[in-house]
Amino acid sequence: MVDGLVVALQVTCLVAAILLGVEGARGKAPLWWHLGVVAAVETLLLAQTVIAVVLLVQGDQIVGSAGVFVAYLVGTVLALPLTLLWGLGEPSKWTLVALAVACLVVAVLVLRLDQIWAGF
Amino acid sequence: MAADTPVAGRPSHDGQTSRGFGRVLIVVYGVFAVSAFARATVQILRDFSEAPLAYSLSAFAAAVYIVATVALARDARRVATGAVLIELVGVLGVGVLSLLDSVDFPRATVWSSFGAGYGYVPLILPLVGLWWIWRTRPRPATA
Repeated sequence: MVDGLVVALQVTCLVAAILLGVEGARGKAPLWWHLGVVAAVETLLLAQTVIAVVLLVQGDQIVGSAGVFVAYLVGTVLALPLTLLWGLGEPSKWTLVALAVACLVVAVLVLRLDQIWAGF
Repeated sequence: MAADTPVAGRPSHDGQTSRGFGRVLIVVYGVFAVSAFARATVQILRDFSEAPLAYSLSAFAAAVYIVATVALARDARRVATGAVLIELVGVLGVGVLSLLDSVDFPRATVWSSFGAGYGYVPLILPLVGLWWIWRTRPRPATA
């Protein structure tokens, strides 16, 4: 897709996972800046979605399966909000650990998304 | 004493699998429930006749993950135990079979090769699940 964005997303997801994971391991309860980190990742994910839609409208083709691509795209956008919603049901250090895990999952999804786009 | 204070090294969420570390565990289960369901749906819609057994197994695995996720999240301990045990038998059984006889499983499922395609998380997850259910077992009313 857009190589720069994919790399930026990977790095952001990993940094966010480490930050939130360390904060959780230190026993911190969720703070506003933790949510800011999640929001930053989510903003990039939404940007990726908009870019993918624009590229497709402009005539780019998905080499892999379009259905699977859309499924992964929806997955990347929903993963963090759903985890946040579930995690804040009982705000604790585990909320942060859950969000860190979700960031790692998103990193994998973004990688797969790029692979499906390119067709391998 | 605060409700969340651990007693004798054990969390105080008595009988509740959804609390504490369970929050994290259920996110991982949820990821597998969604991805196994998506995978099974794509496989079955696209070319079910290619590998009916493997694809049926994919659908079964998805169902097991969905039941386990919901049961853990709703503190349904017995259902969760059953689902996680089936999951463990599934990943071990399919893992062994996929090594012995690739003819029966020409297409991948979540559990093929002990979940190698998913970083072996499918192999570890039921063990962690059982450990967590055991760890959150209800304690007698009087300690």
